[in-house]
Amino acid sequence: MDTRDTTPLEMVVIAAAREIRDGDIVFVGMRLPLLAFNLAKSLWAPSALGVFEAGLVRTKLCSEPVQTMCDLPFQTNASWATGLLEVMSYLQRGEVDLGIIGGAQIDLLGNVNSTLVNTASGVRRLPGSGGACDIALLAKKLVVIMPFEERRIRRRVDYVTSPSMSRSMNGGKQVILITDVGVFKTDGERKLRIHAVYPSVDLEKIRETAPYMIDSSLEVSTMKPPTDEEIATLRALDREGFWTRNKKA
Amino acid sequence: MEIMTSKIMGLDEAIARYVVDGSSVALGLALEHAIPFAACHEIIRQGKRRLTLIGPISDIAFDQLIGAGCVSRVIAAWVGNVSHGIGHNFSRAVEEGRIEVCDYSNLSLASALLAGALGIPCIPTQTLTGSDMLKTLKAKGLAKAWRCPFTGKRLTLLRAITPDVAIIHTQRCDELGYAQMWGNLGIVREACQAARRIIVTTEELVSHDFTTRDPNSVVCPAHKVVAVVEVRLGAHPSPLTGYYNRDNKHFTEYFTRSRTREGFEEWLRDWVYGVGSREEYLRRVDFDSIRVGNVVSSPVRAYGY
Repeated sequence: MDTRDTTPLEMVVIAAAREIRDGDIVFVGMRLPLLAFNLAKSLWAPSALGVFEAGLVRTKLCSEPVQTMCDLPFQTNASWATGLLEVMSYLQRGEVDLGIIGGAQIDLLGNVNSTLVNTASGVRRLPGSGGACDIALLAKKLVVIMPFEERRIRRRVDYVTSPSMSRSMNGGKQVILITDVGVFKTDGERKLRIHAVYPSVDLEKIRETAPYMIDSSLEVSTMKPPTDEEIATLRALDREGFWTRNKKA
Repeated sequence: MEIMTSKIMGLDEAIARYVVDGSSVALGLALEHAIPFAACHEIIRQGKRRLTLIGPISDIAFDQLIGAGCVSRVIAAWVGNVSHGIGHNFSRAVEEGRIEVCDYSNLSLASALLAGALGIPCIPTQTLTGSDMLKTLKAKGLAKAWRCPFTGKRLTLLRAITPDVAIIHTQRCDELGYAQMWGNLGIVREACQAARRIIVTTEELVSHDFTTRDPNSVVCPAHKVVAVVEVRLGAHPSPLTGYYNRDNKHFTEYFTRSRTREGFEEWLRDWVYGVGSREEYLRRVDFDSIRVGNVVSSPVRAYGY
């Protein structure tokens, strides 16, 4: 398959899926994180366990399109339907290998903002944390999905909703930022640095928006192009291209 | 409160008697599932004022109550429209300084309600550390830094939350208030235990004899239930496990129409103020589009001796 027609959002989902290993307990959000989870589960992580904050644990793949984690296709044939505390306690006990969240802004230190942003016309109020703060602080590894735009990638976020690397706990955890131009990972100084760009993305584009996320002493690789199998499986999961082909990043 | 008297009444009476101006109301407790929208619309029709809303992810129920002017304070982890993100009324009200918000995360809000449920004044948690939410909660006297006397670990103590009333919508409930619910439960059980009173709206009114055949499915302490109301499609447009799917089109229509204040007021006229009866509401719902077509059921579980 020709990978040049892969959309940036398909690359995002594939890059996020590649962070999931077989047997991982994964705290998964809806939309792109759910697609990434389903892709990994279909190909190389069949025994990954998905836990969902409304109080659901799923072993089986749900490939019906859903808008919320409580939609009935998602509840049907769940492995466990229970309460929020039962599943969020997995996090507080340190049993979750990987959490995947989105947000409005992320900064150099991996802090994520989903509460309020300062704009030219004043403060804009957003919905808030949901479970994002809990996932960021308490999962062993954190994946954040965010479009690579100047208003989103910041030196400091306007509001710290989800501090991924609190000094007092889990200080050494890895944060992985997955954007539509490439993948960033935290380095030894706990700062997010470009790690790999997607095929055909110029590093200069990253330098223009966030020069502080380039460490010239680190080598930047080009991400392994999507395989035919990854693309075919993803397109089967997102049948109508609703999440990854018909939308802008 | 009497334990053996029937609590069945109409929705108007339940809201008029037990949702008092200025009180705190917990709802939307099963997250995007089983949100008691019919009860919310009755609160709006009765023009309740100065309520404090408590709930994790309210999926437009809070947004509607805020837009209708019923709310002065929100204690929540997420307020918006899950299909589309922003809740326009909520964002407008915060930006214009008309409501106070106490931002929690899902785990911290659930923990504070659990403390209320356990009958203890506060509870330690490992979440919130380093967030701006924690700074605000500390300033409001709702959280405090704390060192565990056993391990020396630095943690956060959250003040217990005890709502004046919790409102839930369930699949079944009997006349005494033993409400049965299945599917994901969110924080229904903790919030009901923590609340002083509980209002149950239910899809099917059943007898207490029926409930006692499956007591494991009961989710709330019935001695605190003050009203039981049968309301068909009482959670519409949210889904109810085994009964109806989420009405996604309704969330999109609401998102579009509530973009402006005027648009929201028209929406309120169409779906709340202008609806004379439950039958009239039901006629406006496209039930075929949310019908459960693919039923998955288990053998009835056995009890006995």
